[in-house]
Amino acid sequence: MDSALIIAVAVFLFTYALIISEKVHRTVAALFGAAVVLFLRVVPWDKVPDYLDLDTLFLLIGMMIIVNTARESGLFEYIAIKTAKLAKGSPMRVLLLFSVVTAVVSSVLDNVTTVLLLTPMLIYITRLMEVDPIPFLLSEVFASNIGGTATLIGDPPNIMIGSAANLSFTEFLINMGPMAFLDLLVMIGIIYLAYRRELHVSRSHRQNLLSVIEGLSEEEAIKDPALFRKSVVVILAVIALFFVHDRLGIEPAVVALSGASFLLLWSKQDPEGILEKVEWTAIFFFMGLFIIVGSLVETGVIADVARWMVGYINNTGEALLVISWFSAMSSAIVDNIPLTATMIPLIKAMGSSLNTYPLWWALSLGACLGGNGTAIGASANVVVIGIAGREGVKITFMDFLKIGLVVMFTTVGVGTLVLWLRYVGV
Amino acid sequence: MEALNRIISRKFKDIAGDRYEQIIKRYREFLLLPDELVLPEVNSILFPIDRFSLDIPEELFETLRAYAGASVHLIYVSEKRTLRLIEQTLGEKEAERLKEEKINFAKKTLDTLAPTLEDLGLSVKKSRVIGSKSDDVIELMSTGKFDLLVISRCFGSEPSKTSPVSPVVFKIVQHIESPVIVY
Repeated sequence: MDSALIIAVAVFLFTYALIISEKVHRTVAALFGAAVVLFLRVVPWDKVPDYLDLDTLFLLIGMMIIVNTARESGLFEYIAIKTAKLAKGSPMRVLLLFSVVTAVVSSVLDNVTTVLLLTPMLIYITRLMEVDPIPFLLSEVFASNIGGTATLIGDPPNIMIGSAANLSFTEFLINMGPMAFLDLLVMIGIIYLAYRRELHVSRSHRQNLLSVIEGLSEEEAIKDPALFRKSVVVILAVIALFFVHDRLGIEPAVVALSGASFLLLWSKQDPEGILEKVEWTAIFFFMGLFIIVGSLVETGVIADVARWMVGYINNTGEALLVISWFSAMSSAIVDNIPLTATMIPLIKAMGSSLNTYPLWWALSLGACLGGNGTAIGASANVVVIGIAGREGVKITFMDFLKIGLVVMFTTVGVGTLVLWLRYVGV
Repeated sequence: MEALNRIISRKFKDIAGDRYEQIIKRYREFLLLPDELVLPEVNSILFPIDRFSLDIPEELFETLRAYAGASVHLIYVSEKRTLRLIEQTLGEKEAERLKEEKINFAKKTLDTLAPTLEDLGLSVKKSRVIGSKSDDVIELMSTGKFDLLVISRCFGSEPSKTSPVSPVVFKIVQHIESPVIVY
């Protein structure tokens, strides 16, 4: 067997094992793996630009700059207070509104930022209502992962898939949007059925909540009104441009970078402070992974696995089922970013004998929603559980697993059914 | 299961970093629970002083005016260890002389400060003690007799460039649960 092939597979498996074990930071694991395959020339240096997906990297950087600049204005605290006021002291409304707002915000911004900014408000409201915060927090986590599935920019796997398969923002919204909406309703239904006894509040508590919430001023949350207005304008403009980027012939990454640079120029914010807040560890994690997966492509491993898989899969329908459920199950355990990075070249390689178009949606569905299965399945889960723990609300791995698996199987099942009906037929 | 929960908290640190601390700090500026919105009722105040903490700003008196009607226990604390050290190095006679000087100084200080506090509508009880500056204040606060502690940041030692609050004050505020005004 080719020694380069053995090295590529060994590095890939070792890096995966390191990421799963959490013994070292995932970025360190990915960079170390990348360094090994580059040092041993499994991936030649001149091929590195081919494997580094600049669309994904620049889209992530651009959106991170926009979010971090907007954050300085108090925009997200404003949204949180506004949502709390709309709920009018009803636990069911709080559940519904926070789930919808989280899903909508997550479909545009990254899930971690969304839950980091909304969770403190949600915990505060549940304390005022004196109800168990767990159903509300779980609903928020699931809504964030479901919302991220809806658009090209909602979740890193979607950015990677969109870039690799050249899928537009509108295509994503048309294919994944309705599915995400349906899954959101199903998820809220599951939470309601599981926790309906805890979603009641006495009249006095409701009055108490109403008087305190009404006393909150969303205007007070706005730290910098000028930056607030500019951030809203730029975010709306960027979203509008995403809708037409394919017709204008502009890459999504260019839209994000243009929005970011324009906001920095217009707002006159200190670029050093904003750029410092870009999650460079995530960016370098992506870079490392792209090179490691590149080594598998370079040595022909991906092509061999694809050929082997195609030998067992007879048609697109079967491939759709295999990809959606395999990626969902894997994403519940492993980080969905390395999984997507590995699956992308595999699906590309299957293109010679299968229609891969529905398979991209199957991958997006599984990779994004599989994360709902376990507490470590997605970054948003970990963040909400972490925040809850710091605020004295204990959500154990088992607590999450019991409801998470039900949500994962149901939402992926609904999504697969929608895809099947659309692309395979009855 | 415990290992998985440990992984979650490690991942949380990796993912959220210090972003959560910044966000929660920002939220705390305007999200208060009803019991946090109610100003604590203050009927009795402990006000320890020593030779380092005699520079009292006017703003403190203005703040204390809000508690008119409350009783203040104004206590001058001298460090017992210092006296023992002097006794060991300079002898018993010298230590006794210093002790007397300290008592006189404490009496004079208390007599000067008490009328100012009484002018604010506070009833003042004066006392002197030779003991441990940190432990005695912590012990007095732990009796539950006082609703508020008013203490200088220089209580116990001169402030330095690196530490604007004396270590004695640090220790005290870490050990008590009642509200504290550090001036």
